[in-house]
Amino acid sequence: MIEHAKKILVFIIIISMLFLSGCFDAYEPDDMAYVVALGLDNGSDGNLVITLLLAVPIAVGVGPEPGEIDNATNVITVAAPTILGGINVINSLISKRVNFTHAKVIVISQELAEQGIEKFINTFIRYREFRPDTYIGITKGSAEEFLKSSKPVLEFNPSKHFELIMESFKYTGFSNGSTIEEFYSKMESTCEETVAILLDVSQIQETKDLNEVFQKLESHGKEVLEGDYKAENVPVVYENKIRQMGSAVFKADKMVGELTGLETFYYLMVSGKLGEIFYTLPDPGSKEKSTAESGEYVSLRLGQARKPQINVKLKEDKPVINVKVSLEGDIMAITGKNDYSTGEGLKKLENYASEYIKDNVVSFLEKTRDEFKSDICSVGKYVKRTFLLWEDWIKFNWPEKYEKADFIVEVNVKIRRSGIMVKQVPIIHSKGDK
Amino acid sequence: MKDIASYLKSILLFKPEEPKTPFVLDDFGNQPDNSDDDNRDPSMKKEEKEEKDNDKEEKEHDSRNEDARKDDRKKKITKPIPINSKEKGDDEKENDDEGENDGKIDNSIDTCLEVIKKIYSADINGDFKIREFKVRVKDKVYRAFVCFFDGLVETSIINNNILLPLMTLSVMPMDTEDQPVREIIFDHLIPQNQIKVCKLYQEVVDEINFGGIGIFIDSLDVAFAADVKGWEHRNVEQPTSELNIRGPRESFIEISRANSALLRKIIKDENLIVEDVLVGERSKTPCSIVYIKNIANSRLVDEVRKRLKSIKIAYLRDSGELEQFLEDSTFLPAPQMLLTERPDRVAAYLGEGRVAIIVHGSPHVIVVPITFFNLIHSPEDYYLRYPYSTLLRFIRILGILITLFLPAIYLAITNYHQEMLPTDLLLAIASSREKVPFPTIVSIIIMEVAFELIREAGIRIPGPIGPTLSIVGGLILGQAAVSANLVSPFLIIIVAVTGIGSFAVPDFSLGYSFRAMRFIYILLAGFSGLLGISLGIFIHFLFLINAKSFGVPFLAPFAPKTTGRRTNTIFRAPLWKEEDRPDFINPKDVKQQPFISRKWVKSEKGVRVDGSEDNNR
Amino acid sequence: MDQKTTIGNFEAACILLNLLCTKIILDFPRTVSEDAGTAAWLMILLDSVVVYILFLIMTRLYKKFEGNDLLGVSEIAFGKTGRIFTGIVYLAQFIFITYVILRQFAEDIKVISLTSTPVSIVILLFAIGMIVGAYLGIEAISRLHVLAIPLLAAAFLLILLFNIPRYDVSKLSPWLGLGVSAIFEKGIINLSYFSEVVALFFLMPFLKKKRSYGEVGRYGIFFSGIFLVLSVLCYLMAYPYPTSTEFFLPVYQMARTIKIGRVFSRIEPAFILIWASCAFLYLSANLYFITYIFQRTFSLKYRKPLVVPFIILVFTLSLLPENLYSTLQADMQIYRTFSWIVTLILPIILLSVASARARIRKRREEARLSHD
Repeated sequence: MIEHAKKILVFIIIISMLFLSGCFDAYEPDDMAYVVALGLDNGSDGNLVITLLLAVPIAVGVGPEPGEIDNATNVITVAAPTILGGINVINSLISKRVNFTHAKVIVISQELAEQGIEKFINTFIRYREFRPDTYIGITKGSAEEFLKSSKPVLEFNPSKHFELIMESFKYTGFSNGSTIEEFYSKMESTCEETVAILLDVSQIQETKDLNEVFQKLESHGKEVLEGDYKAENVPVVYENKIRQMGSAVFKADKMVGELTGLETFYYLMVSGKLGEIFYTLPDPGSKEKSTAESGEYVSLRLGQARKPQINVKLKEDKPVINVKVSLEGDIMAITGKNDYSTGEGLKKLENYASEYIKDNVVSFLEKTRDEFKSDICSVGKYVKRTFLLWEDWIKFNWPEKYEKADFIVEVNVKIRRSGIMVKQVPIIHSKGDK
Repeated sequence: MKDIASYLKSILLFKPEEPKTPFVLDDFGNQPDNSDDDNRDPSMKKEEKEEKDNDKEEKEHDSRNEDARKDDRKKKITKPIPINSKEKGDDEKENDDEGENDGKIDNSIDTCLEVIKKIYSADINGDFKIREFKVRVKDKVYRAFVCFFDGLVETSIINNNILLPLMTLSVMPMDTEDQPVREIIFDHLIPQNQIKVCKLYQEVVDEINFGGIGIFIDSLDVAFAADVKGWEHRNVEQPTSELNIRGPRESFIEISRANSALLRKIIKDENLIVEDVLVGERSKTPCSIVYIKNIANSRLVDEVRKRLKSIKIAYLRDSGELEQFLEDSTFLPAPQMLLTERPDRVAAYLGEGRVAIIVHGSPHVIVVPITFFNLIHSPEDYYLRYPYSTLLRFIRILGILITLFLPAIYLAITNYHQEMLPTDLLLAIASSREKVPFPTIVSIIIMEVAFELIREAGIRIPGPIGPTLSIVGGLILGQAAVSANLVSPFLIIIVAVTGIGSFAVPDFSLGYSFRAMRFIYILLAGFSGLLGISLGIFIHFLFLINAKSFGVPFLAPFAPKTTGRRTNTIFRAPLWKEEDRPDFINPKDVKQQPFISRKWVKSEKGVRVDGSEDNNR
Repeated sequence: MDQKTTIGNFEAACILLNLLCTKIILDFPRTVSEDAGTAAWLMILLDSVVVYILFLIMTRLYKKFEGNDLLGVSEIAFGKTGRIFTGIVYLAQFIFITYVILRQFAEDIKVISLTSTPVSIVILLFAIGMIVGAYLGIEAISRLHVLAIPLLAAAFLLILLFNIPRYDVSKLSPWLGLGVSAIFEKGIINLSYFSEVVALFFLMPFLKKKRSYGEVGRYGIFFSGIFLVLSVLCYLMAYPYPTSTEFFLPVYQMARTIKIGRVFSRIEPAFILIWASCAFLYLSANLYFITYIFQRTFSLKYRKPLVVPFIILVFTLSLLPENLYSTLQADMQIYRTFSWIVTLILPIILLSVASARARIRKRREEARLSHD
């Protein structure tokens, strides 16, 4: 009996020790404030200005009728030297505990990005609550303004709103879905450089302001196709004022430039991350120089047929980069009179599309080489394959060699289908028209 | 000063307790001997004891010696029992019989009458009947009497088959000149199909106690005891707890002979043995061990017999009690024997080489040995076609997982691992919990306890509305609780699905075990999230794996990897593929079907019309 | 021991597989990629081949002593003192590895999910599982391994499978990593990763068929070699070289990035279940071996009372290191430098000495018999 009593006593002590010590990490789901987006700005005296976009659960969920609460989100800003210290300050004044496990996007202002973001990326990677698939974006103005102007219009849930906006790169091709893990990996890598999403807040209030935007853009001379601008110049009027278009190019951890939406499409194509895109091709058959007046375009939906084949040969210390891209797609619309749906017209369209895209890709690659001096298309990994030892690769110093590279690009476009229509019969105009 | 000192002494000094004398109903010497050597872990077939038993046996040995010494001491202290007292124990009966002719039946009928009246307290017992009459044999008239319990016997049989021939048939001419009276009466005059010739009073008394009739005739030194059982009992009905759509719908009733008859109706085999054992000092419940002689392992049968015969209790009322006396491990949260109401199920298990125990007075029959997977099989699985029953088994396993883990996983995820939920779901849960005052673990426990209360109460609500009311009432109560903001609506769904899942468990006892373990998992999850749940799974499975049911490891085809086919565990095989009996039971004959059991599958010419093969093909 | 507990071949192989492969879910891919850069998988491949060959040598030498565990062999070789000395050496090794890994598991889970619970409570949770496992003995542990290891292995392979979109073979280049000399030098030291093979020699008396230890060992080493190489290979294909040395739980990191659609994208707490099950199985098997070696070394009669003292010892030791990186990793460095000698070379020495002794004895017997 005594032995039993002893055993039972020990057992009770252990069990009560377990339970009396309390549930340390149990947090009720409604005791936490879920951050949807985080913004970083440059403050004064070396401070950071940290903005949090918090989700308000009762606007989203099952409780009182949605609609009672006006805002599905709340914005709170703090100035502090470090991110997590600032979060501590915020925790001391809001009623719930800040939780980053559902943060969808991190927005950094361009000013801050140009000074180098290595110190912040470290926090995002090291702190467990940030998920590796959080998107990272750079905005031209201030991140706080960006977060304040975001307004989910088509849904209640603000995190879904951000997530779907950022995910759109899979079917528009105008941005890159750069997550912090990819960003970090490529930043630390010795053979490639990284990009981030380019964001901005729109200043356009009404439709008639769109003309100003186009005037600004047409200074280049050629026609302004869709996507041929950056996030600050997107010609859209919408209640939700945030815009996403293009990419921010980095070298190591500093931002060195921007890409337009179309250039991002070329970037995705060369690095093999393309989903699909509705691409506008000027009509090949028209004789006029600028088709902008006749407005004849062919709309293609392009996707990647095969992964791009890149190989690099070294000719006297200068790399010659051979890029071969295969695209395939469908014809979505033909605005002109020429019919490209079948036969010879199709071949002509394919050839013209290949040439056109090839020119654009070459100019994009040369831009990365000359203006940005950063190898964002990860060409370096094909060079790394030829090395056997790590020290040799480090001695080779690829980023320097990239600045002297030559590009030979071959684009192969194959049109598979042409929508529901097989033929397009031209309209017979009456005698009065031309 | 003195007062303070004595006060301090009274608090601080240790005082041993005074020995208490609680109220006991009987003196020490009368209690039957409790220290029994046979109820230790039995050693079975391939599985051997571990060292733990070595340790335990040593300690047991020591404690047993101590107990024996204590008993001896008690016996020496108390007074001896007077011989003629009313309270009788085991010793008493023998003393009594010894006082009267060694219990042998006397020649004189008056003595017999007195003895019987005294044994049965006939002046007090209202339903004990004695009928005196006269028998005429060989031109001589003898006095005789019969005695029986009214209500236990079928009076028409007594009248027609015992009294009638004895009183009247003796006048018929028979060729019985030189036979003694006893043989004449036994051979010719009692046309009853079950008669026993008894020399001792005890034998007659045993028969009378269970629906027999004692026949005493003057000048004979033996008595006859005839079996004329007939009492009110239930008819064979549909089973109440194991319902099914396909398959026979008979269920066992409370009479052990009727139950064994139901089994013999299905297995028409002369090798089916029904052995009788009496369990219980007072209740003398007849139990039967049923097995097929040339399939069941004889060591298994011996073990069952040994365990049954060595149980010394006063009353045995139900097979549920017998299960608790026979099982290997009392505190394991899983049953180690199967209790079922359906004869077809028992017959299937007998055919595999297991042993069944029928207990008189209980409609549930015990089947041993059992593995965990037998407990999750439904009786209907073999009557349905293969694809459906596979799907049904899968759903049942899902139900089991749900009933065991769902509340715990919900608690772990919403409290510890919020990142696992999709954001929409998490915001919905968070918003639904805004107005609820209790933390999640408290509301889960409240809802679970309420649900269990409703289920328990629903058993006692009369009529057909009982079970319906329990589930529907639970949901309505839950809805009301949600509207009053006592619990969040997600919790109602969780608790309801858990409850429904617990009905998916076919075995009643296993369902209870899961319902109990669920609370432990909830506590563990509330304490440390998924780590606590995995600790619980680890310990739970370790205990299940270590358990044995009559020497067969509890998770048998998986836990020690036996070499036989593992078909009938989680999923079953098509019937024509089940050629082997489960080999962890070690039956004498492992093959139950040849490799090709559907001979017609061979081409047409190979099988004749009457089913025999044509080997000349 | 009067009664024989026996375990089957598959069960012993599963125990061996778990003992060797639990380190995958700790920081094994990270430390090997620190050692050999992008050629870490090559180094582990070579290591597993070497261990396989060493094991074949050991089985060859073991033929005479079937049914004897390593302590019995050392008794034949060096007498009673030899047995005690060997027992103490292996006891020290097992205690060391148990407390280090126990602390590592507790610390890792503190970083992943239970962040504010004190370390001692988390270690206590693991300790409860260890006590129950060690009490119920090797039979129960091995049967639980049979149930659990196929599922855990399948779950691990699923994690590797779901990461396929992120694999890039060019992240494995430059192919020879930090150099051939680094591969070989570090490779020898990294043989210590296979040091749990010695547990098989302590399981020998429990096997049903005495001859089958060879088969068990070969299959165990083969499959664990495959898993180890696969894990390092996939980890390096997902994270390029310098980054791969940074994450403290590589497989956890890979599990975090699984994204199949929007709903199914954050399933890494399910990884905690896998992880914790591996931990419990490994730790309770180790505690069993500790008590068993102690019992056999000093020829004690009962094993079960030893469980509680040793768990207290391991618990206290595991609270000694101050923080995750410096003390723990330093301990592991010291351990790795010597452990391969203790577990791979020492048995060969013991076996050769024992077989030489046995041969001498037999020859003396024959000489004596022929003399008479």
